[in-house]
Amino acid sequence: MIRINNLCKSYKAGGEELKVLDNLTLTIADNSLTSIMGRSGSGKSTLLKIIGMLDNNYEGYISYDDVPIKDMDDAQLSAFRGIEIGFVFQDFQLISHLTVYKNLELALICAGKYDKEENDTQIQKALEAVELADKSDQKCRNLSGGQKQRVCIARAIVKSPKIVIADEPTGALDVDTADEIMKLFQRINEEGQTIIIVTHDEEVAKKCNETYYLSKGKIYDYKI
Amino acid sequence: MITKYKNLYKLSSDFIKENKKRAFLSVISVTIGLTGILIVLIISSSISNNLKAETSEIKKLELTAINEAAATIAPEDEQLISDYDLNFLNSQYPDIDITRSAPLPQVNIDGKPYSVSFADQITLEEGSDFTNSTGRDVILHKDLIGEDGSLDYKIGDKIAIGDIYYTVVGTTTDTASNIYMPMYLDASFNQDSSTNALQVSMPTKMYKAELMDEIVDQINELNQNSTYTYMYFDMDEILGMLVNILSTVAVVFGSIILLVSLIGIINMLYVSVSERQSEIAILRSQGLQKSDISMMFLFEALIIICIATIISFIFAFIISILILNFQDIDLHISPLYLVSIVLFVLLVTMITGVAPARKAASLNISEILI
Repeated sequence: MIRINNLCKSYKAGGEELKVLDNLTLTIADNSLTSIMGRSGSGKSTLLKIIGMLDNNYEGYISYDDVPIKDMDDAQLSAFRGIEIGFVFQDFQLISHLTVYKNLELALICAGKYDKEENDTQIQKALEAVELADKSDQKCRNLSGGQKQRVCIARAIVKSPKIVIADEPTGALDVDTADEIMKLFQRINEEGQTIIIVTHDEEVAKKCNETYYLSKGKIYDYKI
Repeated sequence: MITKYKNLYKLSSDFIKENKKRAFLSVISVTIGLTGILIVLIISSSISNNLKAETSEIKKLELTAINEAAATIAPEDEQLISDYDLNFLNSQYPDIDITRSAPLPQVNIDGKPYSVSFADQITLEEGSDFTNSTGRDVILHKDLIGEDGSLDYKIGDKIAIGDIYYTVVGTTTDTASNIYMPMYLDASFNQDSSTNALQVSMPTKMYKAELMDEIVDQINELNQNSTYTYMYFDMDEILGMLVNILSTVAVVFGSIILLVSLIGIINMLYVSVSERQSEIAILRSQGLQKSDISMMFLFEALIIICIATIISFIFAFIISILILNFQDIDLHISPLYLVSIVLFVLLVTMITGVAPARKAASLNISEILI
């Protein structure tokens, strides 16, 4: 379970302090499929960075299974991020000159999983889950947008993390492909993983179990 | 821990393999710099070693007499060290070896070579008078006189040595030479003044200057009729100075080349960090620590430097051998020296890799990824 209490985050822009997250409090239960909705500039991406431990410079309290993350050092944060969190990015963030297999293997190595045989099995399983088992040896730059996003999802789930965080995962995809990707998220969620999706697309939010609506750094609505 | 570093190394080598062109250019740039340094070092070391090897036996000081009066009086009065003086000096200093810088001259009389010594005190035979000799008098070995000798001369005869006639004023039984001349001798007899110099061999740790002053005093004491000024050349010191100059030039040139090369490496690594921000951020998001990213970049630098070092050594040796062969100098470089160069280059390279590696580790990944 992720608990966020009184989360504040501000940037300095042009000498003035800009509050992006303002006393934000929310809870995300285990195995939930949660979306965070909001317009551009609402603070949803900043929230995602903080939840994903990519940004540790904030005020307030965040805990994973009641373990506060604020006081963790880089080694602990990296280890936690590597093992427990999988990321799916809007623009995929794959290493394009590497093969699909290599991209997935990298995720496992970065998470400290070095057993070659075990990694092979995990990669095969993840690729089958996203229906890309036959693309294992293809370089990522040769894949379509939908395929890249599925590789990105496979990379997120290959290490069996507790949480998958997705930033606008369907933002760069057409309607049909976006639908497929959401179905994939639903399936992964049914297998027991917590999914947090940041989106501005109402259709994506509708496919989630719960949605937090964000505006000006505050939650103004919550739907189940 | 080892498995982790092994995998980080693997990641680095994979990235190099994937970016062959950039890695190739980096290797070339480092290779050029390193080859330059190595050529300078190998050649200077070879020249130094050759000089040292060739002069290892010349631990001698050359003592040259300058007769201050000679310039105004006559060239005939140039100082020569007699055998007597030489023997005396050697007996005075048993720990050092005093010799003439060139062998005693030989003269041709009636087409036959005879050795000549310069003396002011020798064992004279009855009837001889050498005490009031002039520069044009000679003493012959007794075997050269009369029917038993090769020369049919007697006391009072004139003997032609070169273009000059000398008067035979006596005979001797001393066997060091066939002919003795007074220590004051026409310099033109020798054709050059090489016999004016003495070579003094001594243990290197002796106080050379003081000892030479002492020897000069001794010679002047032996020849009280006139006082001479001596100057000495320390061959060891002169060659040592040459080697030092050569080494300094090599170090200065080597440092300049190394500096240029290092700037190249730093620039290459910085460009690499900038180009690969996205890759770095991806790896960090997947769980790599900042220190792992630093280590990856250091491994990359290390791989490039190792390849460049191997190529540089091959090129540097080939080029150095060609240059040295052309100059007829043997290649001399100690393995220890080579190992020190390699370690130094690796150390310096790793130091240069630290700043870019730190930059890579400190990238704000949240800004790059989302």
